[in-house]
Amino acid sequence: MEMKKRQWTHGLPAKIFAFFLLTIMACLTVGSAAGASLLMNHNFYTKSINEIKEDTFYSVGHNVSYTILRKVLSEDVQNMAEYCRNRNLSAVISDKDGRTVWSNYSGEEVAWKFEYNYSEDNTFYGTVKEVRIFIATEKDETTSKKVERLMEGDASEEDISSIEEYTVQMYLKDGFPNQSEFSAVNLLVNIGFALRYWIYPIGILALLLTVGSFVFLICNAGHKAGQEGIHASEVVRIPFDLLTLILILAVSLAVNVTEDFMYRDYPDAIVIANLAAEFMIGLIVGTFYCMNFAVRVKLGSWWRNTVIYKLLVLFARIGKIIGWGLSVLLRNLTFIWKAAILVFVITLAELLGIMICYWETDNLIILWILEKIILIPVILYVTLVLHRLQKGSQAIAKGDLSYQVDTRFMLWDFKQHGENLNSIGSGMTHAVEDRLKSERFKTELITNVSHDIKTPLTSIINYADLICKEETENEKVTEYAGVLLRQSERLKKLIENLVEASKASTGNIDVHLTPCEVGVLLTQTAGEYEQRLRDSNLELIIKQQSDPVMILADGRHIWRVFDNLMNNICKYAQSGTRVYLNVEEKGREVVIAFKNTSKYPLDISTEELLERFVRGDSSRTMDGNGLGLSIAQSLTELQNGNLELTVDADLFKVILRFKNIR
Amino acid sequence: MYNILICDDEKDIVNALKIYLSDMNYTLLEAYTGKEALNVVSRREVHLILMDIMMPEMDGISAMVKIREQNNVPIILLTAKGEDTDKILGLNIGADDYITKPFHPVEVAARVKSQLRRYMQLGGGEVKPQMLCIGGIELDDKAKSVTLDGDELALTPTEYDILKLLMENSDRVFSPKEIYKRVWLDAPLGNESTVAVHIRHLREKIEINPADPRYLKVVWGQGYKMEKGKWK
Repeated sequence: MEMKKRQWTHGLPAKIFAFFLLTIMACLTVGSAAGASLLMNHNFYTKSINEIKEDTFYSVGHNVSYTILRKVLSEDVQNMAEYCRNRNLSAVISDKDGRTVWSNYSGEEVAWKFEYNYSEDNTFYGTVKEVRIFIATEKDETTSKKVERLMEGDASEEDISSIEEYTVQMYLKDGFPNQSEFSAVNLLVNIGFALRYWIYPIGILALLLTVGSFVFLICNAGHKAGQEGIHASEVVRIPFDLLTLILILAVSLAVNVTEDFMYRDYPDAIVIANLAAEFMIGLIVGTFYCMNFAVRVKLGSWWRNTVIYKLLVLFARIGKIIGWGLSVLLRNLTFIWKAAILVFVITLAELLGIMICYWETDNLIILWILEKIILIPVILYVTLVLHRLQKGSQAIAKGDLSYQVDTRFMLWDFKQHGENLNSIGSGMTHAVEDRLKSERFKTELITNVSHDIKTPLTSIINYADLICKEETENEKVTEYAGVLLRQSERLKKLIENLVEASKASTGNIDVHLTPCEVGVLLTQTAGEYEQRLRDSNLELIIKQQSDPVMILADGRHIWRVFDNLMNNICKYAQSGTRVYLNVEEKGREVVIAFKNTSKYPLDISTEELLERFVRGDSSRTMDGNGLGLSIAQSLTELQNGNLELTVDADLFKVILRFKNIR
Repeated sequence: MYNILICDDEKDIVNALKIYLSDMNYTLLEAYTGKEALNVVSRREVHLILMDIMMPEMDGISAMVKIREQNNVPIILLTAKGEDTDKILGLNIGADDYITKPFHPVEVAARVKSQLRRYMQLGGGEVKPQMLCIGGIELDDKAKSVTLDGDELALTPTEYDILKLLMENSDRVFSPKEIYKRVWLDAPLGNESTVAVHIRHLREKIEINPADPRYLKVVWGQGYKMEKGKWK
């Protein structure tokens, strides 16, 4: 059912019918609107039909009275009688003194009686002079000059004296003969009066039908019976704005022609026919135009098929190409060249401005201010961006690798530079994090491995000790077990130092800095090592100032440093020599020096002494492990101190430097 | 006769400890995991536990926490984990002492003896008047005698004075200078190192491991103190 309906509405006959309906109803709508306004003007709603007829007959009768007067004055009385008979009327013409000039009125009863007064003052009905002029032009060619004179108002004395006044009395009977002015008017008034209320519903209905058929046409535009989709005619191919332009031109041409008609004195019928034709053509063309537009809208993106759109697309494309070219050019230019071009352009603009306003110094100043208004924000922007970049690079240089330069409002090269800085930061952060992780991992590995080594080592030490204590005949067993015990003790020490060295060198250790008095520390050290120094036959000499010297250090770690250094001294100092321990305040530093004479020739560099364990040199054949110095150095650095080794022939010197906090 | 529980997953270490402790007239019980230790403790009366930390099934720390729920027996942790943080953790959770591997047999014996004396004989802190007491150290000022876990210590008069000063003001740090002034009753003239030497001797007498003292602590760069700390 639905399908069938669709097909019917898409068919050509339906469209044609709708189109005709539209045309007729549009005419009817306009006609009723015009009629309604006409009826309103002629008081059809306030007066009775007789009053209306009287009014209209009076109006129509004016022309008739004019003709009667003319005919009488030109003494065409024979014609005159026929004229009156045709119209079923009688007339009495009297002059200004009331004397009857001409009459065919017999005194019978009539329906309407009108009086028209022709005088010089009564311009509404026309003047007698005009009537005479009319007569003169009709019958006498020679009076034309006189007429011209009269027309131009250039009247002579003689002419003025001949001014006359006439009154035409018209008696009109009912029952108008055909083809008289009155019968047509009578008919029109009768119809108008009968339809005076009907005209509104008719007009509204016609309007609704017009709109309905218009909507129907718009809806079905582009559809074809029995076919799916929209089928565009060839007209749709014409760009829409071009089509519109053509129509506008056509309409304006038509309006011009009409105006020509209006201003020239063509007969009314021709003007009306012309107007009607124009209205019809406009209606048809307008409907087709709207339908065409509807089809375009239904096809989608109607604006694509317009000259304006095509031109815009073309311009956009050209602009894009130019922009792309410029951007490529700018991107491949170095910063210096960009700056040079910018300065050149500014200079050129300034020069141009100066040249234009050379004689108008006031304008020059305005131009100068304008330039500054534009340039100052630009300069401030560049300065701000540079400041930001500087802050970023400063932070990164100081080691704050997580610093991010805010590149949101940066442009071109600045943005690139900022992003580079950011990526340096993040790259370095990654590297540092990786390194820290691997160091931590290394320390953890060493610690865990050392735990695992300690367990079997415990058994080795314990059982070696047990063998030592066992009473045997074979003395060699005790001796060998003693070696085992000694070496395993050494291994134990080595493992402990290894863990400590790994922790200290990676900083994987808690440091609580508190004020420490160096004097007390030295006293304590001397006390702890008194016995061992005596065993090694060494004399300890401490030199320090009388004032207490304070440094910031972690008590346990600084003791470990001193312990390691003193341990080395006990092991490696030449027996019978003196060991010097000096404390000095040097400006803002506290310098603690350990000096001793080496037992062995020191033919290795200080770096090797400090790092020999790390580097695995052959030089650690000496008794003991080489970790002591390395641990001492790491721990000193963790406490913001500095450890320095000096070897001068056999003089071995370790110098510790800390910040003086007194 | 005391029952000592030795708990370590390493059989050789348990055996070695048994040998070392065997001549001291203890009954020695063995366990190889934390769970076994808990079993033994629930079945028998134990007077002291030597416990390893890293063990299968249940580690020493958890076992100790379980035991501590209902038992006040002295526990000495025996472990390869020698870091300070490990020690502090163990002591805070309820250990009485801490021995790091590889240990010296004599040290183990001494610590066992010390803990047993304190736990069994001294009954954990009955203080007689005029007695200064910190942990296992008791100083009788009238008799001028000092005992460590009940054993009389042979101190020189100077050592005695220093110990008395430090015990009377436990937890306070004395600088060598101050100690010299208070003990020698004289102004030190650059010879405070005598104090340090005496302290070392004193430490050798009262501490089981002088390098890792329990009582007489060295505050490096400041002085010395007797630590009451956990020995209240």
